[in-house]
Amino acid sequence: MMDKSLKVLIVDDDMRMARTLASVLAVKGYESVTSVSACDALEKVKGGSIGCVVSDIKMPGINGVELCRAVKGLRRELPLVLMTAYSSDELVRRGLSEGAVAVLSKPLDLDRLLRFFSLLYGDRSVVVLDDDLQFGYLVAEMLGEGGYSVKVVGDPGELDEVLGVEGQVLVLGTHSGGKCSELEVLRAIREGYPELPAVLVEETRGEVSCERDELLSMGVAGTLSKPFEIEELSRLLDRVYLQMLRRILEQVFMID
Amino acid sequence: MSERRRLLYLILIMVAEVVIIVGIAIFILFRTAFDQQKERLRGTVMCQARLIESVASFDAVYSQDYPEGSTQATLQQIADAHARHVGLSETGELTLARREGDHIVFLLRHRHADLDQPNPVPFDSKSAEPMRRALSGQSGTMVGLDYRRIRVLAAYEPVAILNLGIVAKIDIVEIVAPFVRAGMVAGLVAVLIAILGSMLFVRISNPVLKRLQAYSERLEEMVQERTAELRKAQVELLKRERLTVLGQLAGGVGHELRNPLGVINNAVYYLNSVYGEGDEKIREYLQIIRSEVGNAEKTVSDLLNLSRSKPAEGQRVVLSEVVLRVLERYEVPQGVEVEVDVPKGLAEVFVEPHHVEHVLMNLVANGCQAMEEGGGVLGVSAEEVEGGVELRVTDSGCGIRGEDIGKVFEPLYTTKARGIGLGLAVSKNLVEVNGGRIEVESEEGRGSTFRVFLPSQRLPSQ
Repeated sequence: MMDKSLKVLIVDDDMRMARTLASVLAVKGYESVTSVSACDALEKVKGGSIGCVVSDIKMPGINGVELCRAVKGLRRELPLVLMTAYSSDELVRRGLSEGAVAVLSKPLDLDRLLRFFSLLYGDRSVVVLDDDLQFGYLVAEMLGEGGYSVKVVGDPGELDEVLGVEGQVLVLGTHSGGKCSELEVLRAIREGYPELPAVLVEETRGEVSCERDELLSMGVAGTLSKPFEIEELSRLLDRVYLQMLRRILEQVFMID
Repeated sequence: MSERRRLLYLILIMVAEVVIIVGIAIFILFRTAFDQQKERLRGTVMCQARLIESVASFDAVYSQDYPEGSTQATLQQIADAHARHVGLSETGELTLARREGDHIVFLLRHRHADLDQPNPVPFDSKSAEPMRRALSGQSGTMVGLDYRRIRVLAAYEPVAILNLGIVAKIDIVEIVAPFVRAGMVAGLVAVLIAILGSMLFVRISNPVLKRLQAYSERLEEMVQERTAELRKAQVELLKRERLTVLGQLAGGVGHELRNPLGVINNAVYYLNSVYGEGDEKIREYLQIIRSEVGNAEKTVSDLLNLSRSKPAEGQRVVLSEVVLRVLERYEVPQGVEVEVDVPKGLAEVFVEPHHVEHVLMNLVANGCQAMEEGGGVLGVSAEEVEGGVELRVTDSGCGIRGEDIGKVFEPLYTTKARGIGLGLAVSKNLVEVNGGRIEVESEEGRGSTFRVFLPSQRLPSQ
């Protein structure tokens, strides 16, 4: 969950690039600060109140990839997006391995970048499907404390009323109807929502006897078994969101 | 050289060889036989001379009472003995003569002429040379004319007591004849053997020759192949060199152009967000700038992709997903129907996914543009082939003219009003840096099919 008061830090040695991007973000309601060098950017990250970094790769002095490493050294969780007019494959790969969410090529696809920010700063929306509504409400309460907006549904037929918003994650709990029935429900849901990320909650460990690969291919990001700590679910959801952020940007990611 | 000609030369050489060898052998044999004949004649003539001398000296003592005298008695005995003996071999004979005035008078009957009473021969004539020498008191052998003026080998010896001369002689022709005969037979046999031998030789040596010829042809082929390979490598090297320079240039240009394009893009986006709702004209113009920035960007990235020469990194890719992503993003024009047949269970390919996306996007866009007038069917299909997967993009559009089909993958070749003709060149390069191949088949007016082979394994050189 991103605090909306945290700013986007835009780093580019071309001041006009940083300024125009800042203006676009400002119009869309995101606060930002700009930096023309990696050194200055690092000072600003140390100063706090930065929620995300967007940095050029090719800059005099410390480049974007090195900045990425330095930023991750200071704040591991801080999302960082790299952008470049032209870089070698090698530099792009290193940027990704240093933990950048994505490497974007200039000119930026701003629609996608804004969708990225919208997901990053927006409310995290979780839909819990479980025929045990008590369990659903319990999860909703605990996640709600963490800033999630949670909807609880007891029957798959009601899902259409709550799904369809970008950035939703489905927590699929038990559903009466025998072994692997969750998977059957998931298969049915896939037809309407092929991209919806899902977390599977088993009644008992090992209940869902499917192969990991099969689960992955069905868009299951992870499984939990009852009872579980809410932190476990939280960590799983963090991972799911990072994957979603990546997926938004990945399609404009280009080497060269 | 033709085989017939070769055979002829071979026969001639062998015949000449055999003839020379046989000739030398026969000549040596002839010389030996000639010398032996000479010795025999000499032995005969000396033996006869000594015998006559002995008989003469005996008669001189004991045959005084013979009516015509002792000398005649001796001669009579010799003539009698001679009459009972035909002569030496075919033509050989013994002649005995004495000098009477200017003539040589023969005393024995002759084998060849004047049988019983041979005619005298003048002493200083050219014939009967051996007898003239014997009568002159000489002893030896010679080749000369006899009383018939025929060439003979003769041995001559004086008979001291009776003042006679004795000659044993044989016709040269008789000595030579067997050797001529032998020479002819040997020569004939030699020629036959030479012809047979030559033919045999040719037959035996032909397969060897053929093998040699085949080998030399293969060698020539190999040399040609290697030359072609080297030439190709050289062309490739030049191309790579050009690409490297182009790559550096494109990299620099790309960086210098994309930054301002990025700034323009941001500024336009901002203006559109702030003022786009108001004036229609402003919105339209901002849209124009935006799409032109997009076009400029595409040209820059085409240039970068065209100059890429390093093998791509690659990863396992499910082709059906790539096809899905591309077709989702591409707005298919009206009138074009898309048929996709890319099974999900197809073998994975080892490529850089965004390269393949780029290629497929180009091919799909090209196919759709070819069907701009009148619409048609765009087919995207894939099937497993040896070593990878073949992706096919088929359209039912205007097709490519026969003379242009070799040029479609060349950079800067275009038939379109827009664009500088990098699309297919970029596609080819991107496919190749991923270890694949791209080919096109087309029929004017019927449509085109682009086949893209993508490997399922990482290239060994990577």
